[in-house]
Amino acid sequence: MKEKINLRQFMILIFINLLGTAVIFLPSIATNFAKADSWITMVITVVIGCFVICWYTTLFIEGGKQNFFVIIEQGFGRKGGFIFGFLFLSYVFLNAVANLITIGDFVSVQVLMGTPSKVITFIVLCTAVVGVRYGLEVIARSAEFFFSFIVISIILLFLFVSPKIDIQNVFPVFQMNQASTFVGIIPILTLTYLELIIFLGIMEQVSNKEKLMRGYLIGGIMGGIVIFVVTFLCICVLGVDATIRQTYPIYVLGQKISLADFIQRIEGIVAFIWFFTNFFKICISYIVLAKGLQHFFRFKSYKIFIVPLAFLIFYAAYEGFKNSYYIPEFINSTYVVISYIIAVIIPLLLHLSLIIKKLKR
Amino acid sequence: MALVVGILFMIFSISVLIFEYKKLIKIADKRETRFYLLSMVVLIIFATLQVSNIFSLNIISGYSWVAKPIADPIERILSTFQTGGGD
Amino acid sequence: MNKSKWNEKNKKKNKLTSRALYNEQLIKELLGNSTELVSKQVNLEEEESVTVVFLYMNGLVSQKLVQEIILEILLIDIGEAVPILSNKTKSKEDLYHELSIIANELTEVETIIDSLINGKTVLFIDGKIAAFSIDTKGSNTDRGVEQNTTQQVVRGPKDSFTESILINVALIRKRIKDPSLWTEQMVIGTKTQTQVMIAYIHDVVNEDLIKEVRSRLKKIKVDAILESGNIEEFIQDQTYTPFPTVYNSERPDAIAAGILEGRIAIFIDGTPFVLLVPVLLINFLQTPEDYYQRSDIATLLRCLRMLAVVLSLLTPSIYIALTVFHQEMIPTRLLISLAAQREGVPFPALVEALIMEVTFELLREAGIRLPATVGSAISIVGALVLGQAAVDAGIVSAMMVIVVSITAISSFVFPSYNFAISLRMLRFGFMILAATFGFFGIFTGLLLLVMHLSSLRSFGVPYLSPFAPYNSSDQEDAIFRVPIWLRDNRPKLINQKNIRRERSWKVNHKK
Repeated sequence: MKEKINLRQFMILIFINLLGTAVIFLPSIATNFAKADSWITMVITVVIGCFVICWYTTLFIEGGKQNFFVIIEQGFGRKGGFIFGFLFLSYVFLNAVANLITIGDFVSVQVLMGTPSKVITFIVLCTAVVGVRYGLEVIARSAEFFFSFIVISIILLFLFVSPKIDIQNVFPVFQMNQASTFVGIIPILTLTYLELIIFLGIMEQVSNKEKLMRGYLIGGIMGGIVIFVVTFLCICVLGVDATIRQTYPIYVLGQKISLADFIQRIEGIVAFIWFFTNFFKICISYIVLAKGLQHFFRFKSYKIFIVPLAFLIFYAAYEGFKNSYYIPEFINSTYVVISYIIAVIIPLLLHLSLIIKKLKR
Repeated sequence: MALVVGILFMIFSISVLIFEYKKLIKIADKRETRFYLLSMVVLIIFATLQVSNIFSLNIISGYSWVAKPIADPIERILSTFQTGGGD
Repeated sequence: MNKSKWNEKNKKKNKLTSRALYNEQLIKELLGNSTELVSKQVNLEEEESVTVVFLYMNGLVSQKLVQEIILEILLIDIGEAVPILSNKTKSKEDLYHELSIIANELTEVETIIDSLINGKTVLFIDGKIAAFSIDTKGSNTDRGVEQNTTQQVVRGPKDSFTESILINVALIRKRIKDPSLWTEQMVIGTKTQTQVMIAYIHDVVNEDLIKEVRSRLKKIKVDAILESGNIEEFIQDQTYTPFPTVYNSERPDAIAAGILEGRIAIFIDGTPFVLLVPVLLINFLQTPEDYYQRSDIATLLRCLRMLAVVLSLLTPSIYIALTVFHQEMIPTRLLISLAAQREGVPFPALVEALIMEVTFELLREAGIRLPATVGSAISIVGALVLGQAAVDAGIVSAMMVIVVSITAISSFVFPSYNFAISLRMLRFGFMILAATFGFFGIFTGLLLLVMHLSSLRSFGVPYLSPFAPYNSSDQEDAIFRVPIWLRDNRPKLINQKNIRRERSWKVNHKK
């Protein structure tokens, strides 16, 4: 029996994936480049992101709306497909590990002071193993269940923080750092829309493929708007300098909340949003990873890979995390390179070869 | 201390292995179970060595190392556009 | 011993003969000379005296009915317009004629015994290698329809099911007078031979669902079914889950409403609890009364119950997480008073919470089993143990008492007892998670819980629907209870055909 998810669930998963790492890291990274104009960077990123989404969908449709790994094998042949497929899987693996590391780091630094991040990593991974064993359908349904809570939390956060907005912080608009405003898009895109290439791995399981593009786009735009608003709020409330200095500016945003002297410091909301979105992100990467391996090893069930992969991911996350400062550095260098190779160059090649094969026929 | 954690981890992972294997044997064919057993044994040994601080291999650094020739110049270029943290 | 073996062993020697007295003896032996088996012999007044033997199980038949039948069959009717019985017996031919109208002719010993056990009266007549069975079922042990005790309502019908399956089905028939309300009967349990009936509305229910229910019931191979709980364990989708995936109720109106929505009711003889499948999580948070009260009030009450779920599941764990890990989230003034309260308490928050929660659970269990006359003693003791005395003794803080009370109150809010138990169970898991990882632990627990819930299915219907998968048309009867005249669709996932209820426009009284 093939597991199916509906368009709504797919859209929600995209939204959640966009928020995952982005909502917590982006304000800081964007502001680092464009200072007060970082919200402009975000707007442009969302626009470019929409094109990226459209492109991925056309690639999927061009490949015959089937399993992405089958499409890769179609485009590059059996051997080439194997190599490129594994390159893609290595990217997915990196994504899973990186998200796990960030979750461990965030929780051990901000929420549970004193608990080693490795323990957190272990617990989250165990939960993810349970989720992936249940399968994509269950993950999608749980995401759907939490979606409303996540949205409510985001709205609450916006509402509670809004009295503290100081609009002066965004001025002057687009006067300084004009070049940086555009250069900032390069690393930001990798953390947001380019990561959505992972969804090509599960797109085949969406039940209503005709409206796929619409769901993909709506999810992408919704996520983009939230990230944009978060960035905007960070600049307005915290100011440029504080936003840059904090690794997790949105968490500080939550700490700023003070309503009627009673509702204070409900950064728990932020922790909730971030933990849940990031968890589902890990689950999706994990499941795509297992499915890819299943395809390339020609196995009947992807469930065989779950536990061994858990060890591999835990192993990588255990040693891979040096310290909190390593993460932004990694994002700005290695991750940019790997992202653009896997999520832009390889799909481009694939698309070209698919078109060429079509023309030959 | 690290050794104790390592041993605990080993016991945990072997029990997971047995638990999963019992379930798998019903649904998987010979090739799949063999793959499962082999990969699990290798990974358990690696992870246990890792957790007990005897051996370490940084997979994430591997990505940086591979991407280094391009990543370094890119970071240099990007950092010129960054306005720096703090003040 | 199972039935077929019993048959084989007894087949050879158990043959009916033409001698009624011999047959009587045979049946008596096969039933182990049980004392409830009553036999009466009558000789017909003919030239050669023909013996007629009546057999019935005392207690399973209605005495009055048996007496009437014996007289009516045997004695000649000499009345003209009104039947008046003479004191002379009928002839053999007349008797046969009469019996062929009102009785079934049975030739197998096994079926004769079956009908005896089912409360029928069996006749043997000399010269006939067969028995006649007449339905005289009726029991002096049935209690009448009484007020229900488990799901009380302020407004709504107060009757409840009884232990008799026929009365129970009749209670539904009284409510749904539709020819398309169909029932099917089967017998489960090799020893108990329990009657099980499934009831559904034929043109509303999903065909596949009936097939599924039928096949699951047929698969049951067990010697005894004593309560619907036994059936429930056999037919539920997943055994290892704290959550019930089969609904039970002793309220006829709740079951009738379920049947009208396209669900299937399963009646089991001998218990007032009727099962209903498939069921969603949300059904355990709804009461039949929701539909009898005004819709806005019902919606509000449902929201209250949702809140109660969260409170009863998470209050102690949130308290533990806040006091142990996240003091910074508590407003300063409250934190100070909390710290002052906890000063004298020797235990960590988890132990403190566990002591109180376990005490409360003990009290609750004690309260259920106690006779009503002693019940008040428990409440006095309970007030002492869970109250100021515990605080004064320095075992727990005052805040903890409040936390336990909130948990207790909210766990009594649920209309369904078995759902409340599952939350009680999970609460302890959450407390331990909160004590080890604070809010992070609670979040992880919630994730696991929701993933488990979304993996559950009740007869193929996702347990968390209509929330996940989301279904906008079913929202009108999930958390919200829209006015009845607006609610024109039946739940979508439960029945695919005949989704629309008859559209009933709101009557406009304004002029």
